[in-house]
Amino acid sequence: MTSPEKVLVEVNRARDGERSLEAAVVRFAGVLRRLGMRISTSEVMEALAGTAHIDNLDRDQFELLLCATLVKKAEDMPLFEAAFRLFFSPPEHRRFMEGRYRRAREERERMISLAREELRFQGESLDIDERELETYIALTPSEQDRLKEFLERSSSGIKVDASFRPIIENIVKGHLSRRRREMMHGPKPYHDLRPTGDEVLDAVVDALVDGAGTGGSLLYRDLMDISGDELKRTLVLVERLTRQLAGRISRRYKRSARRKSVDIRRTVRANIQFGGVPIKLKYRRRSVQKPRIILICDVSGSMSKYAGFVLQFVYGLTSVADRIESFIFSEDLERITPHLWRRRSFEETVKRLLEASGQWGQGTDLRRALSRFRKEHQHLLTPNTFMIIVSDAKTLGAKEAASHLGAIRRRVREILWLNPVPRAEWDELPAVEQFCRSCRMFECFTLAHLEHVLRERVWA
Amino acid sequence: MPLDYDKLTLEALREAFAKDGYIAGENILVPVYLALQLGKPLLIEGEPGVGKTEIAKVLARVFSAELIRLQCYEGLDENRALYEWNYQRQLLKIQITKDRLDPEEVEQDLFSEEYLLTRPLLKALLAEKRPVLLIDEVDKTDAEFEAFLFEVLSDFQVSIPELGTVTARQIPIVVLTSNRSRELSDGLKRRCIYLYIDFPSVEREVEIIRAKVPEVGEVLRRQLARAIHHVRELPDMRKKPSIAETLDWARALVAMDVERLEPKVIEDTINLFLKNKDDIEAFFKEIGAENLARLATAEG
Repeated sequence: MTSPEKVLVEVNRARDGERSLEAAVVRFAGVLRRLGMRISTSEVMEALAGTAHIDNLDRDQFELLLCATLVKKAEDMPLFEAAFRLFFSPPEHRRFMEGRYRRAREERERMISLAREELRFQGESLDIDERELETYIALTPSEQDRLKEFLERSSSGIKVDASFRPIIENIVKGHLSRRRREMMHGPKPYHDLRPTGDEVLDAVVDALVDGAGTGGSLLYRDLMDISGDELKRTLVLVERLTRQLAGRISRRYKRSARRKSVDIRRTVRANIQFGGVPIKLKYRRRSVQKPRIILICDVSGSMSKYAGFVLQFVYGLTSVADRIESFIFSEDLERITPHLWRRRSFEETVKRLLEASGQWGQGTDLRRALSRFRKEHQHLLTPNTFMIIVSDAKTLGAKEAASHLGAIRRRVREILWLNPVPRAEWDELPAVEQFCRSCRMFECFTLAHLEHVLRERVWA
Repeated sequence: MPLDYDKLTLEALREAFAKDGYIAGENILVPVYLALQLGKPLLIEGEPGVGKTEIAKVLARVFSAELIRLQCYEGLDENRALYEWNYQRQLLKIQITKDRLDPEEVEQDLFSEEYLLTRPLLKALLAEKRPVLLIDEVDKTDAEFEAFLFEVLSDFQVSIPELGTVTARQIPIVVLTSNRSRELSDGLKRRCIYLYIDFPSVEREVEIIRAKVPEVGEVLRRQLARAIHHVRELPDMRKKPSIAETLDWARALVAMDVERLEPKVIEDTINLFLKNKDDIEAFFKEIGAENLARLATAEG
């Protein structure tokens, strides 16, 4: 009995000996669900029904059966294949994987309790959660020493009593959370998966998450992490996404004539030739207003990369917008619409913009930018206009900027703010709350986010 | 001898496809076979030109079934897909009989099958022998039509207010294709067996050329398949050459009496496999005719 062909039989006999083919399929669907794939019960039942029609001992056929019934998206196939390879692997490999997972879990628990021991204030452990402790473990030894030293010094300071504890805790938490953000820079796939308690399932998911790394679809990648050699592929993807979205939107503008009401005047006129008998019906045309868009992009420092992608994306939707006006700002505002209307490739346009504009890569002053906008471009604001701001909300004069934003809000349909900082970190940006009074803010650091916001908010 | 739907085996399907000239691996045959066995619609996605529509045609041929095609387009609605009343004919009938017959009788008569224009979906439900229903490029319709479609595909019955409920005489073999210009709804996907067709491997493409353009010599056949494979691998291609384009290129080279791929030949015939200016420019920038000829011929 060779393992590749007869692996299922072995799976059935593995571990507690009571595993049936049905149970294996159901558990495998569970693994796929944990990895983010949407699989309904009816699809699992279909997979089970399919087992009656194929040779279940043929590994390839069995894989194709599960693939055809459980996976309904081409993008999910690589993940499915990896999960299948791991889940339906020979028993010895599974045992190795489970053992490795168990050891890793024990090691993690040991490290966490060690970290809890090390991070003490006046002899007592600090009240910080596991995520922060994990960050502490991941720090370099010298960084860990610095933190321990800080705690020791604070513990023994003159006039320092137990009432200082919350302050110290907050300082340590703040530091760890900042370091975590720096280490991660954008979400890694599935990083929030918590163990289910089922060792086989967790071991497979864990192995897949380990292997996932920073690769994965460009659609879900932080735009900041897209490297030079991936740029072209990303731009092709942007073009594909905008084409899809524009196609979908234009379909809505051209609904079938049959759903509209009859235009009596035109029908009568068209049927005079038939003696007034309405042989040919004419329908009313529905006029659809396309939205107007004002795009204001922060191009200071790290924001310029995001701004470039957003500009490219929105310009792909020109055919389904009434008018797009674009501005960039860092220390001041600059209108760039004329540059973008010329028929040049996007890369060339951005290159020329860089040469012509003094705004790229400067500091951020939204207050000044919005003030100038209101002085010079107020006439662009109409009730059919969406203003889209792309910025991380780290600006000078946030209070005044928020007040300008409030004034603009009253004259437009909606202000959408695309923020590349993950939502979980907005608490640390005090200006976010002030801006949110006048706009809807969305986290937006991947192309998938961008597509979703534009589809759901502007062209809903 | 057509395949018997009720006594279908994977082996028989494999043979029938091969006999019909459709070169398919297990990755294509198993999902097709499962869709047939489970009586489920088969949803095929893939780049344009990889042979999605062809599967429905092959199925119609191997089962000797009628192929009923619903070509989807922007704005397609239920009337165009299912049925509509022949309004003009009804009007004429009213005009002709307005002074002669009892109005109630006329009304009853007007909404009879005689005035019903059956469109592909209803035609498939009413067919006496199990047909193959091809719903082509379903991604071009809108979400509402998709919702209507999955209702029809789950119950295989529709109700026509004036006539009552029409139930399928035979559950048709349903094949839906999509070029992935948009994501289809989960509801529709859930009801289907899913098949994604990728571009074929070099070996598979050699077989396809052999089956479809047998006049091409063995050497050129391999070189063509390898060359096309390299072109598809280029990262900046907006429209990768399809299988149909490989075959067109092969036929053109046969007509030109070409036996080997040479740079000049590639330059002269590039328009046969790359159909837009950006792609042609990208091709010359990234690989060029000379390198492609070298790559295609160097490996064997």
